Amino acid sequence: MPELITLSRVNKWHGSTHVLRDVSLAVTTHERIVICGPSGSGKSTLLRCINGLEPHQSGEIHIDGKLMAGATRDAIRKEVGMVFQSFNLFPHMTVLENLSLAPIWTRRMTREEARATAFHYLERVHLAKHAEKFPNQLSGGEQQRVAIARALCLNPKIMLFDEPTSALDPEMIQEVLDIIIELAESGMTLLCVTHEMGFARRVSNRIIFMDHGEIIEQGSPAQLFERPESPRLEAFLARVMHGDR
Amino acid sequence: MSIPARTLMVAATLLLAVMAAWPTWAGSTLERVRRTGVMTDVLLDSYPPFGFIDANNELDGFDVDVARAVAARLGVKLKLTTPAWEAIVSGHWQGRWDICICSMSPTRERAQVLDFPAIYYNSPAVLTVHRDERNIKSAADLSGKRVGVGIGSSYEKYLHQELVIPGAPPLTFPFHDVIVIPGDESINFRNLALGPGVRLDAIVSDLATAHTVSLSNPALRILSSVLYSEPNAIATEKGDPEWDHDVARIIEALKQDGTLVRISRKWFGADITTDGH
Amino acid sequence: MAIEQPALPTAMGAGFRRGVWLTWATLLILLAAAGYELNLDFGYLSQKLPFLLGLKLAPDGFIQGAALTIFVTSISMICALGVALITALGRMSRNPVAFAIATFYASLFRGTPLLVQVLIIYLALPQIGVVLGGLSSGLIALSLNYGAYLAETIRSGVMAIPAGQREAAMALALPRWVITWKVMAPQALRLIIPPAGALFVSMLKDSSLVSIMGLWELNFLAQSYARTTYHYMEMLIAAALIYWALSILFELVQFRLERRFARGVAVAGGR
Repeated sequence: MPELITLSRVNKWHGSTHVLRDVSLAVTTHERIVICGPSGSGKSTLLRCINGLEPHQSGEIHIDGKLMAGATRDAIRKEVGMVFQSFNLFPHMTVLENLSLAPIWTRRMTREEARATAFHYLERVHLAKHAEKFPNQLSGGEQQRVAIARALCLNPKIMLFDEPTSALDPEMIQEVLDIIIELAESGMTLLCVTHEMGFARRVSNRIIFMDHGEIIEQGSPAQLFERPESPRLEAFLARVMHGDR
Repeated sequence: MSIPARTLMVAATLLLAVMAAWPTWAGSTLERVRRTGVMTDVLLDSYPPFGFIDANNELDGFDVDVARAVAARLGVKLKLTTPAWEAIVSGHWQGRWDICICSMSPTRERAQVLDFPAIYYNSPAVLTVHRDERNIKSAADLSGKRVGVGIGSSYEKYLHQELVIPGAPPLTFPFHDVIVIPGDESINFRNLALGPGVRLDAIVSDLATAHTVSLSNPALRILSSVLYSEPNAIATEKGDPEWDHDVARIIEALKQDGTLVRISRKWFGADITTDGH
Repeated sequence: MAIEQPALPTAMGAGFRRGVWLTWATLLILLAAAGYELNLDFGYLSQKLPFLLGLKLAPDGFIQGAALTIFVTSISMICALGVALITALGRMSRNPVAFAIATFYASLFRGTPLLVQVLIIYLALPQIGVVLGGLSSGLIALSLNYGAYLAETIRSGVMAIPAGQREAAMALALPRWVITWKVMAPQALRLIIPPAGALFVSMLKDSSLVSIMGLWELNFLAQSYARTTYHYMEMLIAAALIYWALSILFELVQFRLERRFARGVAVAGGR
């Protein structure tokens, strides 16, 4: 199967801090990858570098065979949908308008086609009846589901999730995770940065553990959860599994 | 942008273009006046009875009538504008204005940037006090008093003992340490009318102004002795002898045929235009 | 389904509005009563009112009074907006030359008095050969001066938008102009309009500067009539009220603009 995302020896400095150290990674189509690690490990940064939201100083990132650099970035981004921790819905537009924006202006659909696409994905996240509402009329969980639908309206090949439930109240986390699980089961290639270990176990077929900017360990959920090799991963799991996750 | 805004922008651009192309030719004034058929005169808009806006919203007054007479003699139309006094008095008119028939007193400083081709009337400088004032009877009593004058006027210079009237013997200043309060003349008169020494003790101004004010404000009293008499001249931009010559000639003619006297009697009931310091 | 977006809090509903209008009416009546006590010459006032309002043209055929004030303010507003946009872009730019020029200009024109700026343009520029008419000088001075202030208002409005908004828009691969005009600008405008409105109301009064160059705007006429005929109270109160009325007009426009751009924000939570 073709490799959808390739990172070769990516390094990033933020000022004098070495945020990503020699990160190399290959993601094939239909893979579902969860990236976890302590805070400051560079996992969000990695995701944002993949999408070109932040620059990297050395190494190469290829998406769908094309190099992510300068002018090609926008063209490549069309195939990558991103969901943010703080939803980032456009507050001055209705849900429907939020969703229609990309189909009209990025995919160059007509208004009717865009509307149809928007409603299609709104229904998929079970929020069709909120189409004319504004984001601040919705709960956190609903807003994040709308954000997922908005990214899906791009009809992307890859979905990136940057801690999608970290800003949600506990009772709303599951509704969002359920959507992501549905997405995974329908074959979407996805990378998700999260602290939700139960969800990670359920949804992913590869887990990557990062610490201090490097990939320490990666493998199937069974491998990492039951037979962690590095002591750092062990320590991390101990801390994270301690709660009622 | 809505349509009205766009039209406004087009209009604005056109207007700006026209304004920027305002005549700025450095050619001689006379040539410009003849060519355009218009003489542009500057004056003060609130200096009755010399220049003021009348009930029909037109400029009227002694200075306006004189300007009309001059324009008639030249056979051109008269255009009046009322820029700030500071702009007029600092010269460098850049061809915007042709002449100033605006009750200007010639001084050495002004002569550095303006020419004064003709004197067209004399204004006696007088002292005005509140009618209840007991201590001030003449200029000699002004020492240490608060005296109002128009900003930048020759009366201000007089009180600073700096006034020199060209062509006249040096003035005597029988006072010292006067507290000079420059301000808007009409506000000065209002302040004086509040009471002797309330805000001002006295005002030095020209007779015509004081006279007009005192007519509507009986609280004021003009002292009879004239402090000095100042010639008021027509001013032009410096360095245009041809135009100056023409202006002088016309004023002389207006004096000879009695036009100036007639205008003077119309506004003052007396002749202020005949020479005699 | 349309969403009702009232600007006044409806928590207290009709009672609140009624109270506000009643208080305004009372204040106005008190003001009018105070005015009546002054024994104003209303005959004189009504005679001069058409000129003050600019319903008649000045002797030289140009507009005057309040009409001229509105004219000068409107044109300067539009030009100031253009200048401000360019300057704000420069201030936010990474190009060192653009940034330097924009910052220099903004600092210079906010730091020097408007009066000085007008006089320099009208009286000093001619010394180097640039001679501008009175109206142009006034318009240019007002535009440059207010453009500098407005640039900072625009910049702060844009900077206040959370970074995530731009990131989300970029992640959707939207064209740059769509990000600017459909995502960022509406949000920035919501924050820019109130202080910008205040600036323009202020410009209304500063437009009186053009009287230095001999133009017969509202303030000039009021003072001229007042000085000549000693009807100070009548003229100055008339001028003040006309300015106030014009300001209120501006404020009404601002109010509608604020409502337009408060879309999605002013709505009370309804889940």
